[in-house]
Amino acid sequence: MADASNDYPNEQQREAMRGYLAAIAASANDAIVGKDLDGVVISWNEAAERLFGYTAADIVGQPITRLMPTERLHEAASILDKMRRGEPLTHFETERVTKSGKLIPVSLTISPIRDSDGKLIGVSKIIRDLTDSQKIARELQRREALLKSILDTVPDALVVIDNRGTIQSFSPAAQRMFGYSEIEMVGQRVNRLMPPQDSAAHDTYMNHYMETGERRIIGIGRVVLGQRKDGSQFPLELQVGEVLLADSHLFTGFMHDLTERQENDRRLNELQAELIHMSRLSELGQMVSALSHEVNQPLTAIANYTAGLRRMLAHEDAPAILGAVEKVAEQADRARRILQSLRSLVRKEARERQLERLEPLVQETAALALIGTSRTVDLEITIPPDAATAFVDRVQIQQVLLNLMRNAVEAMSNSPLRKLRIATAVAGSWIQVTVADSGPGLSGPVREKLFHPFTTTKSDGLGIGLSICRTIVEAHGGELTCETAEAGGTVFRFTVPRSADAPPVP
Amino acid sequence: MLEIRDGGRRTAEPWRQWERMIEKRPCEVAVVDDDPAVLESFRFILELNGYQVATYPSAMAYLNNTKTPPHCLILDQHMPMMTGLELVKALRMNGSDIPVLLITAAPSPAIAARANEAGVVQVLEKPPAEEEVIRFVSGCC
Repeated sequence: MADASNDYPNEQQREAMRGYLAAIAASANDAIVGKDLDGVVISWNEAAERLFGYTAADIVGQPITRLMPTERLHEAASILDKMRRGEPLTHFETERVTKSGKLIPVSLTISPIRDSDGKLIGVSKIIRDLTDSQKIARELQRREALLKSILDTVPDALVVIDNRGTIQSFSPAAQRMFGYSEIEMVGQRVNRLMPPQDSAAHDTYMNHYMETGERRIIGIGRVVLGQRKDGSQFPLELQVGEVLLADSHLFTGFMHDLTERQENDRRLNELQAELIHMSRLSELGQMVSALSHEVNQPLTAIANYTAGLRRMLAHEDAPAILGAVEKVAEQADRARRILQSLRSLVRKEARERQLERLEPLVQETAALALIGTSRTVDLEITIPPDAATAFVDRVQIQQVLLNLMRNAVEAMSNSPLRKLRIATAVAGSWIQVTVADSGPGLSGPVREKLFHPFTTTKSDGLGIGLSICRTIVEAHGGELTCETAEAGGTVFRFTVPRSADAPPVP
Repeated sequence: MLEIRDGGRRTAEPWRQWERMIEKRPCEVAVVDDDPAVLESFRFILELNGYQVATYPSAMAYLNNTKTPPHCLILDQHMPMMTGLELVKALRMNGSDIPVLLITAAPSPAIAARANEAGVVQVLEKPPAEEEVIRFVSGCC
């Protein structure tokens, strides 16, 4: 510790300087320790006492190696070598041992002590306890690792830019999303990720925000177009956050690729359009079918009565009446043939049937059926492996399912419990499909007329939905029935062929 | 609407004046159809041919109101609640082998196949020819 005071020529001044230095050493927060060339401790301040637990009386005169863990004893020699060569040692991170045997991380700054001739007579060490700062550093590392793993795994891309629009960081997901590497993009303008038409607008936005503080997108999020390295464009949902630091103003952009979501929406729209088209086409056919069925009833009665009349008139001598009755019979038969040819026309319109997987068919239809329902519906689809396929016209069966599911959803709109259950099961050479709801069930009179065309309980319904469903199912050779479940709610069941050779197809 | 009285039998219909000319047959036919006009028209031709006729507006009405089974059944396939084929299946499950004529407005080979599976004697398209109906019934008595 006498080193610096040697600069003062006057003994009195030197004495005063020693006093100052001793006071500084005593009040320093870092441990300050002096040792001679033999490694014996010659000075020991209060911070050293606090850090190591030894008092000056304990340790002065003792070898400094008492502070060193065994595996670090070699450091003593190399430190001395450095001192002899006149090399300073600053912030050398190592470990030391306290009186109680506890290992502590420390940072050493070591300076030589020389006599007035400049000869090395000892070494002074400033020892800083790194326990706390190591804790902080480890915590920082942990958080950084966590953040990195999050950014590596989330499908959302993160791009950080500064207030001039220069990219500061470009996450792995961003690299995958845009096709650029981090090296390519860091330092580049963020505008490169946008279609040209949006690039100018972005500069305007940023300038506007920096000048006025008015937020157009920060904290709100919006759907924008991104542009990949290959020039292709895709929709993404952008969420922008802001980081204000003492020396920088950064913006974080989280981007969610909407390509897949839009692909799904498009698929659903297509399917819905296809169904609407098909149902318009087949609605005509179904109307013919339903009408012919209805008209067939009075025709049957007419045919029976005319047949009976002819038999009765056979006993009478009334050729004019008999002739007229014959004409009625002829016209009734003509009406029957018209209906027959109309029906065969409808049948020709029937599309190809093939083995269809029921799971995607049911799921797609359920997605359609739940479109626009404001209340959540608990959907349960049970398709066991042995009842996973059926030999059907996909669009027609989807139409049946859509009708039944939408009816179910509507029926449950005022129910506290809204559970829609769709299940398939094997029934011999048939697949039975169940659509069950937890609505109020159907009243007896409604159930009796349920499948009649033009019967409806809905204010806006035409009442041909279920009649069409039944016609479709029967065209598949199956049956559509309805019952009220014991636990409440309505259960519709229909059967469709399990395979091509189940029943002959009309 | 048709009223069911006395097991579905009706009396005093206007054509009964021909009764003296009709050769009575000791054979009862049951007809099930949800359309009352169709039901009555079947009664008309069957009674003119000398058969005893019971009519039912639904499969359930038939199951609940038949004390002694008729000689044969004429069934509409297309009925709410329980179809003609469902009624046939229920009857077969109860051990009945009553001959059935199924009448359908929308005939298809699939229905024919399923009817055959259920033990239906014959399937006819609506409106059926009187001769075919009479041929079926006479074959059962």
